[in-house]
Amino acid sequence: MTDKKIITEILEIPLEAGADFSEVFIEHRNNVSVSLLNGRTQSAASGIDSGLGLRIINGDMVIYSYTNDLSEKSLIRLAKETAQAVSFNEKSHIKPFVNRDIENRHKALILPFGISKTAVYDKLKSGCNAALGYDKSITEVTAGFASYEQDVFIYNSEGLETRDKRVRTRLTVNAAADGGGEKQTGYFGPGAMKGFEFAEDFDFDSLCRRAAESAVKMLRAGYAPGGRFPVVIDGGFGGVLFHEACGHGLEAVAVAKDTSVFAGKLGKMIASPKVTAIDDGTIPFSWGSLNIDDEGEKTSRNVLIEKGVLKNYMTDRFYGKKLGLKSTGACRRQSYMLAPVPRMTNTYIAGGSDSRDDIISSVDFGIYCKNMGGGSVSPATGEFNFAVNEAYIIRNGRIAEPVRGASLIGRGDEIIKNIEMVSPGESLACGMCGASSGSIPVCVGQPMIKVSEMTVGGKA
Amino acid sequence: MDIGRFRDILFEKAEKAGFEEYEMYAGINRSFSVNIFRGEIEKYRKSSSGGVSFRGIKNGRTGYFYTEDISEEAADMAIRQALENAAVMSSEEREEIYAGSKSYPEIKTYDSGLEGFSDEEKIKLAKKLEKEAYAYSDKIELVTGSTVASGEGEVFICNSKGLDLNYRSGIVMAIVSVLASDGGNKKTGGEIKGSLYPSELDPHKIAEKACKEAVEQLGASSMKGYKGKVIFKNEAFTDLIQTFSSSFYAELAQKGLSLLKDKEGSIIASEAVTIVDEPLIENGYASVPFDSEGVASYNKTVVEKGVLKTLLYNLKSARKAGRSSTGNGFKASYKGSVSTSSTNFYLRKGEVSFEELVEMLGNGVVITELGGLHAGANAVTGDFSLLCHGFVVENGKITRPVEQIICAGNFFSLLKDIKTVASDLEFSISGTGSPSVLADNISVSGE
Repeated sequence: MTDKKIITEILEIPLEAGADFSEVFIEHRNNVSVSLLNGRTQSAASGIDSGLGLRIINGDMVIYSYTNDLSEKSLIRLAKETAQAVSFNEKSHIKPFVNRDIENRHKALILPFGISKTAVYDKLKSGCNAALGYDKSITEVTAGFASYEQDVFIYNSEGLETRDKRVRTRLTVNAAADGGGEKQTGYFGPGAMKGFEFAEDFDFDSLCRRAAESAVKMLRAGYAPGGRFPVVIDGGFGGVLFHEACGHGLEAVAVAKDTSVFAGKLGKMIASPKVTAIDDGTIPFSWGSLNIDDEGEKTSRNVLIEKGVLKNYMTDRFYGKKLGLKSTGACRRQSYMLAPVPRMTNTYIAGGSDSRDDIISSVDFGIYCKNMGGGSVSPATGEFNFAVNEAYIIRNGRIAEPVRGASLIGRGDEIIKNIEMVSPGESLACGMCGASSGSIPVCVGQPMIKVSEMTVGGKA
Repeated sequence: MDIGRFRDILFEKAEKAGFEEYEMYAGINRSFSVNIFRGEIEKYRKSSSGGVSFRGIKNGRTGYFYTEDISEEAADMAIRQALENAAVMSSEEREEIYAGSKSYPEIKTYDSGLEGFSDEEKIKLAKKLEKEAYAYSDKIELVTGSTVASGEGEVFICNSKGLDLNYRSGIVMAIVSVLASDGGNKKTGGEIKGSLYPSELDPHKIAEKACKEAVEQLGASSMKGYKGKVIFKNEAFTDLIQTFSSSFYAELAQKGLSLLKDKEGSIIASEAVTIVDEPLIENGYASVPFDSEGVASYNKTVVEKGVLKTLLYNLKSARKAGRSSTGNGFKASYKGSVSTSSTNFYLRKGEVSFEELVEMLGNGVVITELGGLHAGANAVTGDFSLLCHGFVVENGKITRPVEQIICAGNFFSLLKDIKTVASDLEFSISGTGSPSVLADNISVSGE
């Protein structure tokens, strides 16, 4: 471990130069991953990430540098070179470290370098066979496993000294069905803030069959109609709509820069009264959780929208201060290579009171999105675009035939006003979210919701 | 510990562990970037980093490990994990440790002028870029980012067959993104340019491109849907080619993940379509003297007048197909394993100008930007359904901006439906490039 004396010195150098704040983030991460195609191993990889990031705040400027040469000479040089960018504000000194270690709410049992590769192989192979056996049109099944153990050590010029251990494990399956020169795919990727025990306990075979089922259904489906219809989006990964269309606009970076449609709207009605949305980084063993964020603040359960009223943004110390808000413990980064910014953790629309049956039967003609794909959004305009992996027509209040190739488009600030019905009981699903501080694990989630009208892109 | 010393320790342990063949790949990078916001430095980044990847073959199976921690303990872990990884690999995925090509091309991927381009000059350029953007029009409400970044790297490949290669690369980039507003409506625009030579980055031109893109879209509305001819503007079609470029990788075709499987020698596109992969272009974004396996680079035609001449091969997929590698065996960094990647991969330009292409379209839409490519396009099936921006064309003239439309089609059908290719070839920073194209049978859905 890097000597505390050296850490003190590299935190002090920028302050000497006149910076307001300095922070060291040391990361050591062990990774393993295995992937099988149709029961045969395509890749089995593992490795060690190791490095140090130095963040300096100087007025409105964030200066960031990193290296993975952790020798004293290299670190002092890094601090000195980086401090050259500091414009002199006021000379200050660092405060003595006070250790603030936290209790690990998500204790993992089997760590990456202790995992039996044969056990992983057996699990994945069994899943491949289950999907291939589902239907003869299933031609390719990719099954993946990944697990990592990330140790982080955070020190800052205000005397913070803390650490966290994050162990995450994920299984993925992608099943492709082939028919008449066309292919359709079904995908799932569950994960948890756990070690290999997550995979051991998981009924992967059933999940693989479910992916195969989705692919086969879509292969036999006609194209989705295009136009404006009521849209019903199911729970779990359906929450990607809120994540993309609203979540990114509620991150303090976009708000502070006034590039979000939600900037300046605290306390205002921004959504239908049916909508309560929460970002909760504390959920035990959840994929998007953390004990502390990547600047050492405890994560929290942050109510973003309550019955349609905007209550809070996702903030950290730097962007929170710009907005006059306290950190919500949402400062995140992919690795030591990136400066952290406020990001989502486990973000979901909370359950409401409309029954699922009532939701479906309220629609004369519309689209039921059982399983969403990914999407993207421009935070400045709120315009989004989502693929629907598994969709059905709703006709006369009943779920009818499956349709493929549907996508949903619209604007985030409009769509949340048009959420007309919300069922009880939200569920979460895992994903990776990309933004300026890299790709990080997050959960999206919601119960079944109905949007009164949305533009559906289709071919029919 | 220096990398040479680490290699000696690693190779000694690999020999002892019974690896028949082995290799060390190392990458070292230094990078700098500065981001200006409202005339002040908002972000400033500096890094020096590197890492090492080991791969070894035992009993015909390949095992990988990488590490950024260059220590004796890490070397021990590398050997142990590589053995475990090899044990669960299929022997059919055996990789080749390459003895070397006969000769290697001379290609300039680094210019010493980069060293003389100081951090202060980069900051100045980024400030100038922001200023130029604000000066473009009072409709530019905010320059959301103005960045100048530079990077230089060195790659080493060294193996038990005696191969010992290295090359240096460098680039400097200018990136600007803007938000335009006409009071109500807001539109974004952006541009990225990179070069080996700092003097080639013209802040005026770069800012103008980004601003024009945003301002021209102001006042956009949707349009009535139709099925038929559309123009994909050069940048939009580049994005589409980029999204579907993996279909040209033999590795994916052999796995059944590309519809171009078994199509070499067949017609897969219209006669207007010639696609090349040229790693030896002067100052090309993806120019490289050899791939990550040490195979020498060369220029090749992938599609010639509609006929698929070759897929892109690495050593493994070439061996499976009983042919030689096309020098497209790349890994993203020392962290990855060798897979396949295109280099400067582009659609050759045609004769007509963009304006002539618009006249040929007559009535329809020019698509300038495709959104949600990572979600709305399926690289395996070729299906895409994407949110677009662009312009309405009436009687051969651009009449108004259009948004909130979705264009849907299938990439492989689209290749056959390309009627005319214009002469306005542009490259994206990934090395993929295209001119604007006129294509038929695209579904456009709108209001």
